[in-house]
Amino acid sequence: MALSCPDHNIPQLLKLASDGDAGAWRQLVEAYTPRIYGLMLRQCGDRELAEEMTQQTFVKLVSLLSDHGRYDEQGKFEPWLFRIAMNGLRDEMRRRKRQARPVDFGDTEDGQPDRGRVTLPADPDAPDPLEQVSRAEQVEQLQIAIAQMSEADQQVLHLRHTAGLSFAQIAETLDQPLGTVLARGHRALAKLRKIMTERTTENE
Amino acid sequence: MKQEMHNDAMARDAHEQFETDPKLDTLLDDALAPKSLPGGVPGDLADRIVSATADRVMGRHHGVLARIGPARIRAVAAAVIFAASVGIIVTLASIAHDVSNMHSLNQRIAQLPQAPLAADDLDVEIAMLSAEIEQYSNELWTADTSTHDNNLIDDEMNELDELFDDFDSSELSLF
Repeated sequence: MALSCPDHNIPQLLKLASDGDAGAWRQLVEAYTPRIYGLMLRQCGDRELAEEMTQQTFVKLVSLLSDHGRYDEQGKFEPWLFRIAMNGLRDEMRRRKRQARPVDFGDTEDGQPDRGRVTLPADPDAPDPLEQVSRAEQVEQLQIAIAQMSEADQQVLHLRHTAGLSFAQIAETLDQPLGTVLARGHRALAKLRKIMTERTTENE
Repeated sequence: MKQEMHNDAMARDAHEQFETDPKLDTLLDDALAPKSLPGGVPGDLADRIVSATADRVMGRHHGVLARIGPARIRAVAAAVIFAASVGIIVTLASIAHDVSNMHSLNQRIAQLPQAPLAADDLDVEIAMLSAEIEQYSNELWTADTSTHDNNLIDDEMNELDELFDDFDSSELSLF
C-alpha cells in the first residue's frame, strides 16, 4: 500500500514552490489532486464538494507555503496536507450541516446502480479474463461491504487505501496514537471480513 | 511508561496482523484507489487548481509588496512627512534663533550711545559686541549649506554688513 510519489522529490518541490516556481507547484498539484479528491469524495460522497475542498486544500497550502514560518518541512508533508484536507472537509460539512451520504454512483446501462466497478488497465502480464472477472467481483463486493461500515471505520480505510498513507502517517493526520490507529484499522478489517463472509454465505 | 509499552506492543501486534493479509490489502487498494472512483478524478481538476492558485504562487514576491498594502504604504508616507516636518521645524527654529540674535545685537548697538557707561566700560562693551558680531559672522560662513539656503545666507550676511556699518557709526559717534 503505497501511493506516495516516488518520482517527486517532495521537499525540493515544496522549496521551489514556496519560492514561486510555477512548474514545481504544478507538479505538487498534479501529484496530490487525485488522492485528495478521492479521499474527499469517499468521505463526503458529493463530487462538487469534493472538488471544492480539494481546491480549498491547495489554496490553503499555497498560502501556508508563502508564509514560511507556517510550515516546517520535516518529512511529514503528507500527513500535514491530508490533515488540512480532512479538517477543511469536516469544518465545511459542519458549516453546511450536511451529513455524509453515499456516492451517487449513477445507473449503468442495465439500470442497476454502478458501484464503481474497477476498470483494470490492460496489461500483457494480466491474469486471464476469468480471473479478472472474479477479481472485479471481489472488488465490487468489497466496495459494497465498505459502504455498510461506520464512518470511523471507513475513514481509516480511505486514508490508507485512497489517500495512500501509512498507518504512522494516518496517526499523524488524525493526531492519534499509532496503536489506536492500528487497532481501528484492525477492527475495520475484521468487520469487513465478517461482512464479506456473510455475503458469501448468503450467495451460497 | 508501562502504558506506552503496552501500546507499542499492541501496535506491533496489530501491524503484524495487517501485514499477514496482503491479498485483502491489494483488493482494498483496487477498491478504494482514486482511479476506481466512480467517474474517476475530473481530468481538468488539477489544471483548474493550478489556474486558481497560479497568481498566488507566481505573484508571491509581488505578494510581499501586496502584503505591505495601502495601510503600510500610508504609514511609511506618514513617517516621511513627519520627518520632513521635523526638519522644517528645526530649520525654522534655527532661522528664528538667527533672527533673534540679529535683533539682540541690533538692540545692543542702538542702546550703546545712550548707555550711561564710563569710557573704559564702553570700550569693553564695544569690544564684546565686536567679538560677538565677528563670531556670528564666522558661524554663518561655516554653516552647513544644507540647512541654510543661499538666499538666507545672503540675507544674513547683508544684515551683518548693516550691523558692522551701525557698529562703525556708533563707534564714530562716540569719538
